[in-house]
Amino acid sequence: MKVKRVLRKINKFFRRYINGGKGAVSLLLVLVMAPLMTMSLTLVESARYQDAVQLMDEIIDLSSFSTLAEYDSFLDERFGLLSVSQETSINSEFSDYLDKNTPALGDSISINSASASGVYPLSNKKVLKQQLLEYGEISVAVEAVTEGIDLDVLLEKLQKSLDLEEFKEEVDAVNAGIDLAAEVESLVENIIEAKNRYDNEYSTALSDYKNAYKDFESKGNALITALEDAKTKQEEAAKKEAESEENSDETTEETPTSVTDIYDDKDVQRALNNLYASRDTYKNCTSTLKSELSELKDNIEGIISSAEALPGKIDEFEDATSEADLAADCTTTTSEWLDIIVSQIVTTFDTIAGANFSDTANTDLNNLQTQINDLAGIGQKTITADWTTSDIDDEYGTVTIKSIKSSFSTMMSELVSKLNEEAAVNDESSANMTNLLDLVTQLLGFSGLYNSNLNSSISDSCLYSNTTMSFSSQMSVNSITSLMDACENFTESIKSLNLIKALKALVDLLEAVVSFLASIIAWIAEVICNAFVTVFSGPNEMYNNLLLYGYGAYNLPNRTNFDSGKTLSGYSYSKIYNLAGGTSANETLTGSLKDFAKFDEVDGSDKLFKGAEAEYILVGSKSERQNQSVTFFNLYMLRLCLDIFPVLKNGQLSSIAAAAGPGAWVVKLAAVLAEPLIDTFVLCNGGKEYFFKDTIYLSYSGFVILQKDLIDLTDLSGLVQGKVKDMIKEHNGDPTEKGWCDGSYTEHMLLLMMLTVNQTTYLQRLQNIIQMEAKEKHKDDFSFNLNKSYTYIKSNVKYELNPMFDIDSLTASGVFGVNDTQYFGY
Amino acid sequence: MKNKAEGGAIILESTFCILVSVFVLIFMISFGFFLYQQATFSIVANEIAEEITQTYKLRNVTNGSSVSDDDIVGIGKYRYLFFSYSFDSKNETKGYNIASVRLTKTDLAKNKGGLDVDVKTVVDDIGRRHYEVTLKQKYSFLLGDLLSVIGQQDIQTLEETVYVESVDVLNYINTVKTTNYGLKKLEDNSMILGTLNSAISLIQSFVDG
Repeated sequence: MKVKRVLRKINKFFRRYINGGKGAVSLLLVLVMAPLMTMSLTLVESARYQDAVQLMDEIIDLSSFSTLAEYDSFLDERFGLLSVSQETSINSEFSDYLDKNTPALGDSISINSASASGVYPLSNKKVLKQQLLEYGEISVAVEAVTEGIDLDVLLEKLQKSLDLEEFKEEVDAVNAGIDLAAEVESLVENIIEAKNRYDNEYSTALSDYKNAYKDFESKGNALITALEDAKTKQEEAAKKEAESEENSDETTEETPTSVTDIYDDKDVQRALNNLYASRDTYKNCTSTLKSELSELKDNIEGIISSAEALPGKIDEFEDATSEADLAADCTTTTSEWLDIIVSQIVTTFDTIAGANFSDTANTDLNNLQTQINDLAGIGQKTITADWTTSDIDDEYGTVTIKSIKSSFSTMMSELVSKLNEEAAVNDESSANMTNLLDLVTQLLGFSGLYNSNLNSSISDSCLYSNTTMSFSSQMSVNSITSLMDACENFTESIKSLNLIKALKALVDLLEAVVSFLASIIAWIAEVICNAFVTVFSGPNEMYNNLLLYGYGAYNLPNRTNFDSGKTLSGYSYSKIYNLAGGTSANETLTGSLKDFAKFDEVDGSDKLFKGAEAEYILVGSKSERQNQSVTFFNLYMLRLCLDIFPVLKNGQLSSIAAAAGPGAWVVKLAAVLAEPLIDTFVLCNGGKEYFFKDTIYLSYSGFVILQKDLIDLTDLSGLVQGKVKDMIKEHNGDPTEKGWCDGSYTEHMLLLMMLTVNQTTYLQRLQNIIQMEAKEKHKDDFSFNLNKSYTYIKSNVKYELNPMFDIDSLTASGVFGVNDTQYFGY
Repeated sequence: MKNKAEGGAIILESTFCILVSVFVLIFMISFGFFLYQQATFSIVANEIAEEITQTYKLRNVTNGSSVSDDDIVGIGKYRYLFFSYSFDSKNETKGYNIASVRLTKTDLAKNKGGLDVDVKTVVDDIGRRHYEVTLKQKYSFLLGDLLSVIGQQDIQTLEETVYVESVDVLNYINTVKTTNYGLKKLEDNSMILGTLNSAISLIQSFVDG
């Protein structure tokens, strides 16, 4: 009933106020359509907003991208790096592009604010490294492959060449050689000391001893005579006494007193005193002789003992050092040489001293002692008138020394003479040694340390950040000089027929070799600090290093290509030379390794390097000359490390060295020093060298290659050929196995960079180069600053989406505002 | 038929009209949702493509609104050569994440799964590329059965493929430079190539007038 009442009331309301049921359908439709239309329009607006937002994103991106188009063309051409040009304002460029593009959206949006700024400049090492990797990923890789660099094999081989353990083995071997040579030297010194002792102290003592006996013998004879006279006197007195007793009554003359004891006779007393004095002298001489004999015996026993022990030690030394390449050949010849010396000594002493030398010598000493005792026991009545000279000789005659033969001195002289002859080398070997040493000396003095055209000295203010040079080469240079001196002394010694001098020089030489090897080890430890980081950083980082350092090697000029080379993208290095104010680049190689010393780093006024930029990456000095010089030295040391084992293992050189006998060390060491020096000169003059040589220059078959490689270096060619041609004897035809992977100075720079410069330092130095070149290039337009060489643009645009139906009360609150931040980069 | 009164006829007619109108309106709503979804889908696909071209090599970033120098380092090497799969795959993930967020916020259809973003890098020329971004998703629409009138199905897979030019400037420039360098090197080492190049240069100079 209630419902009916309500319906009735509604019906009454309609009839009274809405004209009954008329228009109800329209009303119903309006009621139905209104929400549907609202929903549809909302969907349309939503789609429109989305579209506008997306379009705005595109406009922002396009504006950023267009701004990026304003790049620094110099950095691109020269370094292959992209950054926004500092000539224009990023913000205004971006705003300009944005303003031109936003009308495409009509009234859909209203921009409240728009700004853009550069981020991630090339001064950020991570960003720079990434761009370098991207640049090098194809170009450097292709170049490295074209040049035949197989990084894995290269590093594997390099690890072997720079193996500190192997160098330490060599040091141990040479140290053992020093001990052995010192022992032989000591032995020969003992021989000479024994000979001198025999010739001087012993012979004098023996002579004095014999003379003293002669005197003693004469004094003994005098005593016997005195005793006989006294005895005669006594007998005559006794006879007279008897006659006087018989005629005592007949005469009154005084009768002579009778002699009771002949030893009381004044003459006998005098003779006896003389004998005592002579006996004392004789006894002292005997003591002296005994003492000298004892000393000589000790000397000879020491010599025999050492000489007998040394062959075993030489064998042990040879066994122990057979694994060490440097020592192996040289120690073979050295030990052979020492063996001959020792054998000669053993043979001679077998003859001189015999098998039972010590027993015989002891018997001699005992006999002398007995004689001393006997002489001491001579009393007043020991010698009687009945004695004869032969009795004196029998009792107190000289002891015959059986242990030391009278020919001792002659034999020892012959031995020393023979040993001196053994120490000498033949004329051919001597000439070879001298020639090789001369070659090294002249190579050390050969000009080529740096190119004087490249002589910039950079002002601190031109660098992006200061870099320091940390390199102490003095130790290595000194060790090379000392080694050369020791080689020369040794060569002179073995030419001078003086074994002791030769042995002393050998010890000095071996000590110099140890210092030299130690300096190589120190150089490897100090300079090749990055090698292990590179090797152990994993294949990815190792490859990154190849690309990064390859970029440095192939995109930065060095002393060999600064006037004619190009970057991998074709930028000519001569432009840099001209930019730096370089004039006509005449080849003026100056300075020599002999004079190499650490330069004082002087703050200069130049704004950029003229052409030794790769060297700067390696060394980090502000002086371009210093960079070249230190690089030359490092290159030499690297070549030394790479060549040392091929040189030492080379059979042809070994046979030349072996012919020099004890001079094998000199031949090999001279070759070890000369070969890398020739390599370095060839490289610095634009030639190529194998990283790992199978055929060395200073060998019969390598001489042909040497002549070809030095064809453009007439001075050096003349020098080398003049010194080694006769020794090496030219062969016809190239050897088949020359080496593994040849590389120019540039490839060696790449290797040195990889080995010696860590990534942080490398990037820091590269940033300095970019800063210097770009600043100079742009000096007329703007002041280049690496901190502003942005590679990304960060844009921020705040805008509002305008509704289709703008109703202030609903839309003015900004509920459709957008804050869009975007990064866009190269 | 004694009762000739017309009362209720309007109600009766309007009932038919309203039914038809409501049916038509509901169909339009359903179709509108479908169209809206397609439009939105297309917009999202464009957004993804735009984001991918902007940040293709920055494979580790979520989108272009936040880039760190570590992201730049993460670019690495050989993105189009040895590691293209990684870059495409990471960009697909990037696109997938964008699509998930954007579509969830703007969908007017029921998500039936199967969201997929496919990124392909197509080489056009030396150093030049474009990306082919395909977005796929299954949807069930409101009153989807009604769409059968126009030959649609209740559950449909929307698919949008967008082509966008690569803006990897560094790669382009480096590739072109290296190609030039390589060709120059070949030319230097090959007499025939050198002669050909000189001949082409000569002809080109005539053509250019």
